[in-house]
Order: sequence, then C-alpha cells, then structure tokens
Amino acid sequence: MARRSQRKADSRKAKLWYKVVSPEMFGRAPFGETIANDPERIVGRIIETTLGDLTNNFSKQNTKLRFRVDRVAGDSAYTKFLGHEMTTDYVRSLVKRRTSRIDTIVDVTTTDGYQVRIKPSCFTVKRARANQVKCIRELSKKVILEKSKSLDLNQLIQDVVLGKLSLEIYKEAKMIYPLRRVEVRKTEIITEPSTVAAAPAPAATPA
Amino acid sequence: MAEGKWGIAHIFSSFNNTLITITDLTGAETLAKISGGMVVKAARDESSPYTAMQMAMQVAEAVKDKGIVGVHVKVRAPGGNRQRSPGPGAQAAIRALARAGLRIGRIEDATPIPHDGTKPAGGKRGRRV
Repeated sequence: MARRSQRKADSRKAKLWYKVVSPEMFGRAPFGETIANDPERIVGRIIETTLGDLTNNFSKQNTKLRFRVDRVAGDSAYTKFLGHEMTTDYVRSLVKRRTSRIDTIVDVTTTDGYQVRIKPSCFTVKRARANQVKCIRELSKKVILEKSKSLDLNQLIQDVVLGKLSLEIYKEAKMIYPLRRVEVRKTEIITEPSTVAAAPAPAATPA
Repeated sequence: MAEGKWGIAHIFSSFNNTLITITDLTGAETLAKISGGMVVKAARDESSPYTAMQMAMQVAEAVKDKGIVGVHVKVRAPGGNRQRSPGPGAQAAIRALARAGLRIGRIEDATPIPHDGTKPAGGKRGRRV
C-alpha cells in the first residue's frame, strides 16, 4: 500500500498544468487549465465553457461553447472552435404548451470552406398551423443560407453566438406568424477545409 | 472567471449508487473518484444521501490537495430508458462539496436523453411486485 501511494505521488509530479487558450474569435484569452504528463496528449481534448464566462456577460450563461485543443506551445494549449449549444434547461424553459416549436436544420458552407450545421428553433406565441410551420421553416433556411453566403467562419460564428442571425430570422418569420423567441440552438462544424486540415497536422508534431 | 484551478465534478446518482468523479475541465484527466461502496459496507446504503455527503467530503479533500479551488457540477441520472431525475445522493453530494470548501460554478444536468430508444424493462403491465 505504501509503495503504491508513493508511485502515485511521483506520477502526479510529472504531470504539468497547461493553460487552455480560446480561439481568436473569442479573444485568445486563457480560460481554463488541463493537466497532462505529455503535451501531445492534450491535443484533441475537448473543453466546454459558456459564453458568459468568456465575455463576463452574465446573460449569456446559456450558451455553451465547445473547443478542441489543436496546438500546444509552451504551457498554453491553443484551441479551435468546434460548435456551440444552448443548455438543455434553457431550451426546455422556452418550450410551452399550446405553442409551436419549429426546429430547422441547415447545412451551410462558409466562404473559407468550413461546412457548418446550424440548428435554429423558433417558438411561436400560439400554436401555428402546419403550413405556417412549414413556411417558417423554409424561410429560416433561406435566411441562413443567404446570410452565410458572404460570411467566413469567424463572422458566421459571431453572428450565431451573439444572436444576430436569430434576430434576422425573427424579423422575417414574424410576418408569417407571431413569434415569441428565436434561438440558434446548436451549431456543429462538420468538415474543415481540406487544405487547412492538412497543414497543421505535421506542424503539430514537432511542437 | 474566478482565478485558481477549476475542475468538473461528474455526479452520477441512481437509486442504487452514487458515483463522484472529479476531472479537469476537459474531462480527460481524472483527479479523484469515489463510489458508494468505498464508503459504506451495506449495499443498500450506497445511494443514501448521508453516504453521498461523506463521499463528497473525501473527494473534496483529495482534490483540494491537488490545487483545485472550485468545480462545475454535471449531475447525471441513469437516463436512457430509466429514470430521468437524479437519485437521492445528488443533492447531498453537491451541498457537501460546497460545505467542504470547494466553490461551485455551473450546475448542469447531463442525463442522457434518448431521441427514442429501446423499450424500458418491466413489460407491458409494468413491474409487478
């Protein structure tokens, strides 16, 4: 028993703490730590935080952001944006009886070649008819496709996370049926541009 | 965010047991873990709130040694086709973590919810005891 505890202490000493740094679009600020005995092991780890924590804005606590570590330099681990999601309890608080919740799933390609899946939800004031629901769904798809045509990933994510995109959908879709709320519930990055994906892979190994 | 190192406390709480695992923020490195059976002898006590309290105290000590000042909590019930609401140990564990001097950040529900899955155990007429 004594020998085992000693060995444990040794392995812990060998491990170092690394600062996790947010991607450029979120200010390149350190926001957390992770522990490892080998910097290579950190690459690929996924860390979750809220927008409220990153921006010190308390009203944005409901937006969770997912980052993946893709490069380690010294004691900082640099991350890439992976997607965002609204917390389940927040989405559940928006869902009410006798109203419609209109989910849409849209795949868009940004100007810099990222394929992103965007999942907005519209919440109506009262229950909408099926064809109105259909209309709103088609409209929000159209708005997103049109808007994202001219945006790169950075701008798109800013728009999504700060609520500009949902505002745009709201403006258009309220003509069809009065809406209570529009939120982009989730985004996922599906594929990265192949040229960029190929470049950092060999660069990461020596670092 | 507050200074100092933070971790995540994954609390799994069912009717039969409570598990507390404290990891770093990525969830890749476990800093301390404990289950009901490591604290009490009787199997029926593994899920009790009192056990959860003792467990939380032990883990908190272990984690504070490693320099953690606070934790975000992810509470999880069995989920799937079983209960969606956490068992009796969850609340006691969170409270005890706070009492033990760890700061509590976000508390979040991490119960796995199926988008339709298998039929729950018990058959058509329910569990007959």
